[in-house]
Amino acid sequence: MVEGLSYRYPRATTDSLVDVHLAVAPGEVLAIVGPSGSGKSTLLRLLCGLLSPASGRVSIDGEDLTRVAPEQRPVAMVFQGFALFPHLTVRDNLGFGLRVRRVARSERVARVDRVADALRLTPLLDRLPSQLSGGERQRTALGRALVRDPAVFCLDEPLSSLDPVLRTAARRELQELLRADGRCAVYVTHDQVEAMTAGDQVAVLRDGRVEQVATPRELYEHPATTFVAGFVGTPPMSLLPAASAGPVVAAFAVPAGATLGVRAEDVRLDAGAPPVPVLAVEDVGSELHVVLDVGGSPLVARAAPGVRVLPGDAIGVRVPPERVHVFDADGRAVRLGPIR
Amino acid sequence: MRHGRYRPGLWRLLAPFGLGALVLVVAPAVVTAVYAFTRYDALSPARFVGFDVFRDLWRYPELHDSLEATAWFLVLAVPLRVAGGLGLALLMHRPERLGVLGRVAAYAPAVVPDPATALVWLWVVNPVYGPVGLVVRTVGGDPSPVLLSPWGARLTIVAIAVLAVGEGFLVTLAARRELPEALYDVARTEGAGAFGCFRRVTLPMLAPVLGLVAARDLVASMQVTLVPTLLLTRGGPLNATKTLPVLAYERGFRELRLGDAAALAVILTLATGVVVALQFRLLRRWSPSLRAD
Repeated sequence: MVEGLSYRYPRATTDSLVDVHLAVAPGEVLAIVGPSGSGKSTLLRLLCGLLSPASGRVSIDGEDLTRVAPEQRPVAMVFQGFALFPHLTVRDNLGFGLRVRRVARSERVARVDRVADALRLTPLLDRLPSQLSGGERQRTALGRALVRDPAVFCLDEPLSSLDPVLRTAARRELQELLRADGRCAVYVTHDQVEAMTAGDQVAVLRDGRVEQVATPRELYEHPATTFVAGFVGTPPMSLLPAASAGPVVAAFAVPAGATLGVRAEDVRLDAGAPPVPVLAVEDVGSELHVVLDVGGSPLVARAAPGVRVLPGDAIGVRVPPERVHVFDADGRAVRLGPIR
Repeated sequence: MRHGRYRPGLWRLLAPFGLGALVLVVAPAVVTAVYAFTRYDALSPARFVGFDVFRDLWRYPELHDSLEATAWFLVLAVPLRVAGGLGLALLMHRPERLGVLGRVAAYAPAVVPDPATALVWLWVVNPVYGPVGLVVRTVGGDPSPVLLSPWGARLTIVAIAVLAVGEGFLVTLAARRELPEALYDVARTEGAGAFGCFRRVTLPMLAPVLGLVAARDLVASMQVTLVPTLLLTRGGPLNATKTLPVLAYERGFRELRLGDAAALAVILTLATGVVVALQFRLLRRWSPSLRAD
């Protein structure tokens, strides 16, 4: 639970975080997503106590932790790139925190063995990090955080240092683990697919402010701002100025200076509609993304892989007005007409 | 196989260095090794005497004094130099602390010529007008000439060496800056304080570099005493600072016993080898990161 959190790095001219409010329900995973520099990592560092906020509160289960030292918080962190100690074996990496805290040897051994067993690390205990695969390193980093038995688990880009082939498998494994574990987790990533698949709730961060917090489905179907709309989804929502959208994309009633948003799957190919020039065709295998030129703005349409379209063609498309998202001049969503 | 094509060019590139090494290092070393088995005063021809030179050196106490002086210097100066370089590096690895001026100040003594440093120290420890004497007098003591007591002289030579930690400091600083900050974040979230971070992260991570610095320092320390010692103490008092290079210099250039000097140079080389080998054995035992792969 985070209330009104603000932070500014020393000598910075702008705040890294501005009045952030976030809450994680017990057992839930909150994914925090945003472009680099949006304050995601700063937020995590405030949560685990490596930084202290200029204003605002951090609390867990109603207990105020804002001024509590990192090691006394029930928060464990998995750092970006895993940050395993290269000079320590897997066993010593797992037991690092217990050793620093002077936990008795017998208990340390028992807890390390339990976590190693749960994460299938037992045969690797005597290896050094340099002798592990990417996935094994990830499990070791997770294990090091789990050994503390924290109430909240913080993950900073846990998949970013894995190669793409491993990443999908590691992502699934991580989600299973987080779900089975039943702990609160805060999962920071710059990858919206990762955030959407990992989070029960997703918070979109931009320039230190929360743009929207919602379930992945809500985020996709009802983005609160143009930023969220343009960030979430593959491909992201096409955004067109209402003034130039013309007859292809039209909503019921539109405020001045509005922006219209259209999901690629909502664009229907319709031979009877006025033709629009095709700028590019991206074949992603399962489907085609056809980029159309609507009044000078790109509109991405989804088409079946069999459809024959080439750049330079003109095809007829229309968008059902009830599927058009409307954003006001400040980029905020406007709910118009019937809500589905 | 493909390397074959580059070989001739490679040799041409290496030739100037190879020639230099041959003429300036290898050849003198061989000549020295040969002279070590002769009596030679540079006026009459060298006379081959086998191991006699070594036997004579061993029989008289001067060599033993010299080995003792050298050993004391190594034991005091090398750890202090490595620790000093490490301390300065840790003090200044954050750019905002002390900044460029601090780094320059830490490195500067290493580039001041040895004779200049020695002359400054001659003033520093002077009991009549030096700062050491001044301090001793203000607290009510009676300053004695530091360089006239064996330990005062030894410690002065050590102090000169310890202040010139430039290279060790630079290497350690660079190595410390390479350590990922995330490791310190982990250590702090896991409950390690400043000392815990130093003991469990910094020290083991820097161990290989510190080992290298120490090895380099050992080799250098076998030789660096020559100039300051000649200017400050001439090896005295009572041979307390007559390290191996000083003794070799004295025998060779003052007494023109070049056979003795050559034999001492050979002893110095062998001693260096032994000490470095010993140091690496110790390091391997202490640091698991050197044992890995």
